[in-house]
Amino acid sequence: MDTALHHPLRDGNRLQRAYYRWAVPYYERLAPELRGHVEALDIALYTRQGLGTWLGALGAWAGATVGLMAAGLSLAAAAAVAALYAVSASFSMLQAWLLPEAFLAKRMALKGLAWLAFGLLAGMAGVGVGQALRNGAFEWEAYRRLFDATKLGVVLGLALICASQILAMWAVAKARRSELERERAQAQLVAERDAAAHAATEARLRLLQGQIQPHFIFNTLATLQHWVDKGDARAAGLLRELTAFLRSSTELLGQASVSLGEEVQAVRHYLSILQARLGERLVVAIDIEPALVPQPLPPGLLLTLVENAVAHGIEPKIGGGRVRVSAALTPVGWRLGVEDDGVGLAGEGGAGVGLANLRQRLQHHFAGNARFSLQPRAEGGTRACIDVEVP
Amino acid sequence: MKLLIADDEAAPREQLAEALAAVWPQARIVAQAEHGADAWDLWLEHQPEVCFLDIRMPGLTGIEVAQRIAGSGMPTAVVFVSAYGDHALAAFDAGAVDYVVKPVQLARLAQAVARVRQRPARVDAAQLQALLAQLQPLRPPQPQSLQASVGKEVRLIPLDAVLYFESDARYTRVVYRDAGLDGPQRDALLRTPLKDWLAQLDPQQFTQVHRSVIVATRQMLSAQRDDEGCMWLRLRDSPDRLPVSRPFQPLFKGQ
Repeated sequence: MDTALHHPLRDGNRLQRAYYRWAVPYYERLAPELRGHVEALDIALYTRQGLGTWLGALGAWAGATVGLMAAGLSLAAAAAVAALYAVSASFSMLQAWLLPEAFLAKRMALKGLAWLAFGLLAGMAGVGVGQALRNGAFEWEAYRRLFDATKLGVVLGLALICASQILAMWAVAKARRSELERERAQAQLVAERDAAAHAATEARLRLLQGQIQPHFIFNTLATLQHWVDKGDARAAGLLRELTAFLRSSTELLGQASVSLGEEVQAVRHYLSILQARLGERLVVAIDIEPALVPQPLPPGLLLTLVENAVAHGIEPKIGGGRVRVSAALTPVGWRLGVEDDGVGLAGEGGAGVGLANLRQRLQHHFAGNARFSLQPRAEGGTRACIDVEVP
Repeated sequence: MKLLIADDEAAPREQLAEALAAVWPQARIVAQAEHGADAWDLWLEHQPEVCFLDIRMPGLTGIEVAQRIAGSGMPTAVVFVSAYGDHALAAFDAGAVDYVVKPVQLARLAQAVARVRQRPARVDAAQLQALLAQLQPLRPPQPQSLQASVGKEVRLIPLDAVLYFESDARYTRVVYRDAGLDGPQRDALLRTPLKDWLAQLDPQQFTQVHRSVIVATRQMLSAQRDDEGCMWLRLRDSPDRLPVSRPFQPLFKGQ
């Protein structure tokens, strides 16, 4: 609790303050969400707004006492029974409200009924024992007379009231539980949305730092340096591609969403650089359906898939291989594919951390209408696909 | 002094060769490898005293090549060449394993060369193991069976049936027995050179014992030295005797 806020009990009159001081250690032992409820309840009960509740309870108690007296109980007995009932009923109701899970647990309901039956039997046995003590011996006739029609009626009536009370509490607990579940589901939904947004931001950051991997840069510079030293004519082209790649990828990654066309442009630069470095070891095919060029994508996604295909498929393979990037229409939307005929998946399958992140970003960007899959190809190598459904 | 350099990209490899020629004119580059398995094979062929190994290469990583060199017990020094990002290497800056970054700077290369020339060559196997664990090289999964051509027919040979592989010019001869090793001994030709198999076979299940021989580990029965000091390996399920060349003899030290 924020101490700066006004708290009606902590900052109330002497009685309220005393109550608050007494209650604080109990509050602190409660789960935070439960504590909120309990404190709100206490505030409702122990301030002016609780006066009506107390008067109502007093009235109910008086009424129940009068009723019980009319049924033949003495004033003291009737008042005690009514008070006992009122206290236990309100406490159990409170429990049903605050802890519906505990209350609804099967054993709890059974336990309640068992206690009720036990209480009835124990009460009757107690009366018998008391009578036996007073008379020196147990007399069945005298014992039976004690439960004349009126008194038996009172006992049975109380039992019925208790039973209906339990039913009512059960109903309250059920309603409360479904409400809590709804709240929890809501909270989870919010948390998931936050996580996706967070992952997207983080991915962008990581892309900015990591996509342009130092390994990639320095290896490219090593080739470039050599060609410049030797006066090799290929140096100019490689430098141009490197510049274009760095510019397009840094520009892409700053945005929340890019078009497929922009992303493919960065991919082309990336693959040209690798082709310059790897020579015959890398064969590239890019096949994009022109109608799909304006489609929006999370930035860096396709680039990541292409990088993976090169780093995990082609580069580790003696003799190299082919990478094919494609975007095609499907009956329900469109499909983005990156295939390679490299060394294939090494055990991990589609479960890597990077891929979990990729799935999260897809989920965030396409609101559940895109699916990512990573599979070994029958002919060897790996196929990564993103299927986007256009509703 | 004989040198070997290995890099899977042509330009950095040429650059390194030229830089080495400039800072160490007395040394002679006897081999330039295009991938890790190639580097190991060329090392076996030429047994150079110093190797400059790129770390990320297809086939075997530079670290795995260095591990094999260390296992042979031969006096070869290793200098790793890396683009960047292999932070683990920094720990070895002053250790037994030296490294230079790409693009190679002449001054730094000259320093590494000076160190190699001063110090007796040794490679610490434990350090290499630690390095390898951090870099986690990507291994293609070991194939279940081999496709071999026998005449006009393509035969599928389960890997369990293989006794050993033997280099046969540019190809590889595989010797095997069918029917749970109870069948007759046969052989077939694979269209991949032996060195490329190194990267594909599980090193627990297959052991190289000679530049041109890889044997199924559980087939190894005994090794014996003859009067000329050559070592020969006998197999469980084959009468063939296989040569064990010097770099592999530490495998059979005895206790």
